[in-house]
Amino acid sequence: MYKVALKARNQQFEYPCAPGQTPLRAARNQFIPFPTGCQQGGCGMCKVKVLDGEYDHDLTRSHEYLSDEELNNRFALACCMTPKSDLNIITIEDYEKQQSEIADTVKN
Amino acid sequence: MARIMRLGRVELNVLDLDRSVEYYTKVIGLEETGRMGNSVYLKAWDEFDHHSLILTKANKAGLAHLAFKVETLDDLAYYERKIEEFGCTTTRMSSNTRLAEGEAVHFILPTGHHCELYHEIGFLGTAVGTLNPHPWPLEARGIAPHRIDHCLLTGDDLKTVTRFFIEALNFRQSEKITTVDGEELLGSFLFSSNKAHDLAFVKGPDAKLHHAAFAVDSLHDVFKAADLLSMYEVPFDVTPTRHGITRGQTIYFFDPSGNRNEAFAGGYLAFPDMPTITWTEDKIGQGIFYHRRELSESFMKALT
Repeated sequence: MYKVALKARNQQFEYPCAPGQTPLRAARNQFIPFPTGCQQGGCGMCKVKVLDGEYDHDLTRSHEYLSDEELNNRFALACCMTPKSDLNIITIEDYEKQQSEIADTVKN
Repeated sequence: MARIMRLGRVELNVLDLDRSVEYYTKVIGLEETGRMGNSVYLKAWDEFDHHSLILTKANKAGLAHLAFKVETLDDLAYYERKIEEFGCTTTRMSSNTRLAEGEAVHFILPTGHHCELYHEIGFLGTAVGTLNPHPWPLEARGIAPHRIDHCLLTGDDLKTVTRFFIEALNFRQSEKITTVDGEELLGSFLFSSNKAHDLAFVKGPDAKLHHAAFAVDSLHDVFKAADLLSMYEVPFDVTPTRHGITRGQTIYFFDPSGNRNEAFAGGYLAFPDMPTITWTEDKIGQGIFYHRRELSESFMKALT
């Protein structure tokens, strides 16, 4: 069993995830409010940035929501990935908010 | 007066063609009727024409195009003119663009979706035939809908797209969702046949698909569809419930590419003289999900 640290909806969560389980499914089983859509890699609702950890990612997914470049830069769809180590992930919504806050701090 | 008969075909982009064909034949219960290039053609058992659904391999999900069938070739020419008069550019698609299709008139909706009108398409007949037919085919499998029913699309300028369908294509508006003050249009339900909707729009990003729906007979069939979807472990969006809008009974789920599907039953019959029903934004919860009376994030935001 791996540990997943997740930032979602401006809150920090930690939950267990089995090796063959997606971090999205594991979160939902714990009633953690992970943004969820089609669970088929088509809609991009569960997109995350992986801050730390190793994982496998299904290559069949909508490139509109996860391009090859993003995949290489450790963006992922939480419904299409399985952990190979403990993971530290942040939802795209929280990540973008964090990035713009960093940009604002640098500007000031 | 020329009228558009129905939503005749929907072309969906799919990520994995084999998995998608397996899902649409085994779980939905459509019949494969042909293949050409990267596309597979399918029809429901109660449809006469060669296909109503085209699955096309792509690297993203969503709607490739949707098309309405007109009754005659004269109607096709008539609407081609009306669309041009409205200010949309039309192009004639030649008859060998896709399998078993005649010429089509292509145009882009004010919401960015690719749309076509056509009359000619190959004829296969229903699974039960037209001579002393049984009510349903013994070999039916999966959800086995009668036919494709409607699509819900998202777009920004719902007033213009509504005006387009009413003025250029002779549709009528059965229902609408507005802000409480009535100023802004948030949803628009349109019909040309006798169904409560043949096409609908809700406010959202342009050129996106919310769902493609298949028609089943009754709430019992919606419930049976839910059983089948659980047996095949298909992800649900919404388990069986009723819509306030259209009064239909419904279930939402996702195909293997994340395109949302609906099995839809009932809904009232719409006649051309019905006044438009209005839902205000503060009652949208029960308009969409009559029992739950609130919307869900996935239903509002997951689009392909």
